[in-house]
Amino acid sequence: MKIESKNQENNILEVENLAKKFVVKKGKMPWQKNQYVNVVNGIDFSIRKGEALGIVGESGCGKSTTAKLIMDIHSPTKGSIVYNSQELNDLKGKEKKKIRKDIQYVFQDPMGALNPRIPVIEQIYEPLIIHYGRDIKNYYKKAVSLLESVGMKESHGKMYPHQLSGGQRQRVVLARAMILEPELLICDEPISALDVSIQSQVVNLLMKIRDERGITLLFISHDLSMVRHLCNRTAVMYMGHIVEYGDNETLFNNPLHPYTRSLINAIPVPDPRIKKDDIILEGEIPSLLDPPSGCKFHPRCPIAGPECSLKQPELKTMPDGRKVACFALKRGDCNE
Amino acid sequence: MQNTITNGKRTLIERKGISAKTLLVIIAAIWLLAMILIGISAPLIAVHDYQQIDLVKRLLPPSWMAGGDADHFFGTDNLGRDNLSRLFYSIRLSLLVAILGTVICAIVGTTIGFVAAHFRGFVDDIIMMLVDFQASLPFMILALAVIAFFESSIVLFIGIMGIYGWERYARFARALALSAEEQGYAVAVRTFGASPVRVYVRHILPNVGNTLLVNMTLNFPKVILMETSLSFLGLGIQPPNTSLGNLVGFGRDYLLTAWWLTIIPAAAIFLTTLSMSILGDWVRDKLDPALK
Amino acid sequence: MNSAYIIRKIFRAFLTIWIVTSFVFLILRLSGDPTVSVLGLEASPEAVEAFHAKWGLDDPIHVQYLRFFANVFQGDMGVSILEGRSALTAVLSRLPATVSLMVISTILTFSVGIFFGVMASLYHNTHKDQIIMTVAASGFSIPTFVLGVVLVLIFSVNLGWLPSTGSATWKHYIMPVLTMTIVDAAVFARFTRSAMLEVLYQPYMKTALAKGMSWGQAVRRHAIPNAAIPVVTIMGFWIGALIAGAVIAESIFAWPGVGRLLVYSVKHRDYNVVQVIVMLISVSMVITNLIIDIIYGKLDPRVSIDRGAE
Repeated sequence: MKIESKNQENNILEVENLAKKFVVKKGKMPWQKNQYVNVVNGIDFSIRKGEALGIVGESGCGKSTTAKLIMDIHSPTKGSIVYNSQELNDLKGKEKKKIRKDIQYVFQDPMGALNPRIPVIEQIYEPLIIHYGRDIKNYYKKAVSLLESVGMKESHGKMYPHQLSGGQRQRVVLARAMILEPELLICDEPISALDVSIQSQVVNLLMKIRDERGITLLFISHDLSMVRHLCNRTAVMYMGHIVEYGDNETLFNNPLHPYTRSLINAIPVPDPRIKKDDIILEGEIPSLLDPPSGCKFHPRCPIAGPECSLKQPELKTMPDGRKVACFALKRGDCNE
Repeated sequence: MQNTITNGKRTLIERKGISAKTLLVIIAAIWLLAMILIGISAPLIAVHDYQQIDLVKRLLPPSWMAGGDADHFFGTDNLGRDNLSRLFYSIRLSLLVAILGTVICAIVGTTIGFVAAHFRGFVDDIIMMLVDFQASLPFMILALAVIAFFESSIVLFIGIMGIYGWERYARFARALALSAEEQGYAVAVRTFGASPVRVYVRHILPNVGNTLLVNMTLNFPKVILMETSLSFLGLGIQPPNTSLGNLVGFGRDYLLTAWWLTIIPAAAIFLTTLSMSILGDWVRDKLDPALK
Repeated sequence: MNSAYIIRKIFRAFLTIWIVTSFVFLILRLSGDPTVSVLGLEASPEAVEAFHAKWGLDDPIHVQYLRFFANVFQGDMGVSILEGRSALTAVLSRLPATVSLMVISTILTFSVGIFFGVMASLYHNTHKDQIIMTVAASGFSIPTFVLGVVLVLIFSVNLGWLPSTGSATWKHYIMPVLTMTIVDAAVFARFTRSAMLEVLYQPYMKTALAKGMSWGQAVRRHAIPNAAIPVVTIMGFWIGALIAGAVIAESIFAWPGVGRLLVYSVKHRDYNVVQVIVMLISVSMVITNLIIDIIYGKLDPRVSIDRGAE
């Protein structure tokens, strides 16, 4: 089923009203109800061809789940995911398999993402076997050239994951994700499990891949400076909602949502004389089991008004093109 | 009563214990190897036809005893058949049934466990219900019930042995697969579009294989015990075929006059299951210390 | 422990009994037309027809299935072909002999197995431990029937001390009970030992000693109650072993119990009796397991507490 793109822009992926709830406690008896948490709570965003979109937020905000919903690792409770004008949730069998090879995924933990009992080179070319049948000789060559392009040697290919370093494993995972020549690469906290010393190597490698192959990136991270460095646009998530979403320039230079402001405020800056915003994040994220009413951020928000605890604010487009979900904007508290 | 945990002599004893254990494992392995060799070469090394009746030479004692016949090392049975040849053929059949039973059961049980883990929900509930059912009916009773209603044959009997202990494999395989599914590698290959068969056979099975192998070595002696017990009762292997259990069962009637008819095959069963248990414990310690 | 836990277990128990009953019905029907085995191959067509009509064999399968259930719950499970009386009565008349054998074996297995298991764990890695465990390991590998036959050889044939068949006097009990006990006691000793060892190395044992409890007190107050939890869980499996052991022991010693009747009925294809025995065994096992589950829930407070997300 072809769906007309609502945007004039060349969107590769459009996510609309996407939501996911998980069962946390099963009713023991048939008459007892299951208890759920809403991890992703009806979010909208889109990715343009060739761009890099970042999703940031604290752990538990639903950013990883969003990625997994796109990857079909979890199935959404509701909402649509449209990839190149095709609704992914409607696809089945061969069609699904075909489109799946265009979207690839890089895991947070490279050790877990690799099978401990198979040499890494075989794991790199395995996706080719799955999609195109057996042609090991050619696949091997292709895998080796990819291994080299991520800065490793052919001799590493014979090794098992535990024989490689953390950074090398993540390169292997990247090489494996690239072998099907995907259009869209989803990176789910690809560096958070790595030592700080090798994080930048992997990020540079990602940038190189993006520039050389013109691949579209969805980059998920809790690290704002990394997202600022790597992406052109960013979405900020809080407890399953997108609270602010826009170009990096506007978003980082002039954040509007109090949550975004507090996050950016928390980025360490080398020059102490630079004037910082006054919003400082206090308290803990509320439990997902018992979420606050209205705007999920209001218990921690320094500028919350009476209406904030009653209603969930909608994501509204600002004159500069970005979107923000905050009642304070209407009141003018957010405008600088 | 002293707390021996902090006993200083412990390391010494432990070291001594380990070497004795190793020796035991080696002896057990040699015995099993011998049994397997006998089983394979039974037609070659059996001097007599094991079904050859010779009513003149009935109930001869072993050759080293008074009245023994040099031609019949372990003597003859109530029909004058050569005990040594019958022993060889019994070992052959008992091992064959036990090995086939163990292998079939490992395959069947593991597949069922994987199916439960893959489909979850309704399918999983039904499989776990069957596991409960199996656990609440002693296998011997189930086997007897099936044998009562069907014509007993070697194929049926091997089939019955092939489901002995399936619920253990199913439970293990299910639990292991559920935890392996949470592992990134299984999720990863699935995102590439791999079929469930590929995910399970190529990725999950090798990672959980050790545990299943350990379970196989621990299950093997139990299958031998079950087979020989049923044959002993006269409800397993049927004459003219013969298993170690049959030999003990028939010899029982001659305990007063010819104890060797019973004791020799009984010792063979005991030593084989003991060796397999020793070896199984060793394999478990080597491959999967977590199972201890 | 909450009532939901118990209700769920009871529900499960009923479900299992239903499956067992269906299983019996299934193999009964799969094994073919019972007419031939009951009436013989040369029965007249009229007799066959009468038999079919009497047992409703011409009815559709689901009607037969429902009637089978109705009969089972009314205790009407047919007539024993060999004894010519109700199969249920035939089985029940054998029950006391088997139960007395089982009760004595149970008491002996528990006391001997647990005693030696606890001893071995307290003398961990000493000669005492090794001797107990070596004996247990060999007891473990002796098939019950080999054990029984060897006992007969020693005590009846060679020494002439004990009668080898029958159930008239207390002397008749000794060998069947030993046959049923030795293997199971070895299993129990082994399992108790490892459960105890697990517990003895826990931090709370060190804490108990550190706050001045004596070793004996700490073992009684902390180690044994905690080690009891895993031991209770294997009792379910052990009941199965006990029943299988009874079948073998009764056959060897010509004990007039249910086990011997089962083997005899299987040999002579007395279907109805086999049916009754299978049902009887599974119902008693389901009830035993239910009791064990409830005890287990009481012993280990963690069991009945919700385990959270799956």
